[in-house]
Amino acid sequence: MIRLEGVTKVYETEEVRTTALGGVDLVVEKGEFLAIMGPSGSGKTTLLNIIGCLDIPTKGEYLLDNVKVQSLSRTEQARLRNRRFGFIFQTFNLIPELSAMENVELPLMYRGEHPSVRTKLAQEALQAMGLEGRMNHRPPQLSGGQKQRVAIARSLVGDPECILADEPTGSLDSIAGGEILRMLKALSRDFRKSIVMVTHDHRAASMADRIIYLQDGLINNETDMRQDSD
Amino acid sequence: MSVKHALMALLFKKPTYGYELHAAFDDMVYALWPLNPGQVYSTLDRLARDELVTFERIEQDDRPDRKVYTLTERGHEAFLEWVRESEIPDNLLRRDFYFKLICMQTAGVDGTKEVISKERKRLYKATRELNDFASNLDPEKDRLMLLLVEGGLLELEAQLKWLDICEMRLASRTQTQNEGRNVGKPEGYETLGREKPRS
Ligand SMILES: Nc1ncnc2c1ncn2[C@@H]1O[C@H](COP(=O)(O)OP(=O)(O)OP(=O)(O)O)[C@@H](O)[C@H]1O
Ligand SMILES: [Mg+2]
Repeated sequence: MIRLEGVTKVYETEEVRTTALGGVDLVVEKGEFLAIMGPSGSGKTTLLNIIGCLDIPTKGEYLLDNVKVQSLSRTEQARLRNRRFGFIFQTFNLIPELSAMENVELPLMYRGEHPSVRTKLAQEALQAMGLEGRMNHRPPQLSGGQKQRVAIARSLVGDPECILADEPTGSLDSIAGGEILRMLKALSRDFRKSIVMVTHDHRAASMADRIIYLQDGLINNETDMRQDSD
Repeated sequence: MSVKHALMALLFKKPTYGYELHAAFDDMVYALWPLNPGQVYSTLDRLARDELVTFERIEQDDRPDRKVYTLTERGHEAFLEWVRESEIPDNLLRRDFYFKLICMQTAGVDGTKEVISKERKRLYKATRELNDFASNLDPEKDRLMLLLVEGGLLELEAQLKWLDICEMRLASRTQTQNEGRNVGKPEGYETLGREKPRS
């Protein structure tokens, strides 16, 4: 379980001090599908980066299954990031020179898995995304929707508990985007993966269990779709 | 949308002469909803019959009597109940919702944030239902239905965006009055160019 308490993030450069997050309290349960919305610059990516241990809070606490992330060493944080989280981005972030298979195998390679295990797991992940016929294609030979499915396969291959997605449908049309969203939904519903998804699209957000709306680094409002209307 | 609720909103804060209500109604809706005096009085009569308002005759020397209308206890309750109820007909929904907002502002009733939250949830639910419905349609066979659905989804999206704007603008006006539940008190809040919240 992800728990943030009063999380503040201040970026300081020589000229300016920016409060990207101004004290965020947030809990994400196992298997929950959370959408983060909000205007540009409201702190969505910053929040995602903190959850994914890519960045640490300036103030406040981040507890991952009751472990204080800030008290861990850099290496331990990196390990946590690799084991517990999968990442998906708007621009896919695949390596164009590598095949779909090789892209998906990468996180396992960093983890030191045996090549035969790598191949097997990467194949399974790509099959689960309906890409069995595209395993040896390189990203430039794939459509946007297919690229994003490769990226989901890559994020899943290490069996993380949580998938962090920064505008996963931002570069896709509504049909390809809809497919990606249904896959994310299925991952949370059927495989109990937690999903934290940043989006500008209300339609995408409507698929989530809960929608939080950030403004000026604070949670301005929250819609819980799991409770029935009061 | 109803004249009845507009009049109740106008009477919510203080008793008012019948003839003043018409002008106040015009102000409230920017004269975009023309009413004749007969509609105002027949609505007031019905409100009086239902004991939602009472009136008192004020004698005038050289002119016909004036009536001053007061919202009764029951009228107050009925108005608040209407504010809280969530059924809004689908078609005119956006305008109905807007109308409710201005009635609440006019009456000085709190709870705008709650009303917006509720509406937002309703819109997200409707979006999800339409999305699910669309995903079971056949792109060829059901293409006309898909067009209708697409239109519905775009309308819902527009309404959701509009709610974000409503909330942003209304919140910045009432912020000092009423801090929202989820709003924390950040460090370095001043750098965001906002007033420092009181603790
Ligand atoms: N590394 C950094 N150094 C300095 N300032 C930063 C850094 N990262 C983010 N910021 C600032 O923090 C604020 C929040 O940025 P963030 O990227 O989280 O916004 P966002 O909500 O993801 O916006 P968008 O929708 O445009 O992606 C912005 O004002 C941004 O300029
Ligand atoms: Mg961002």
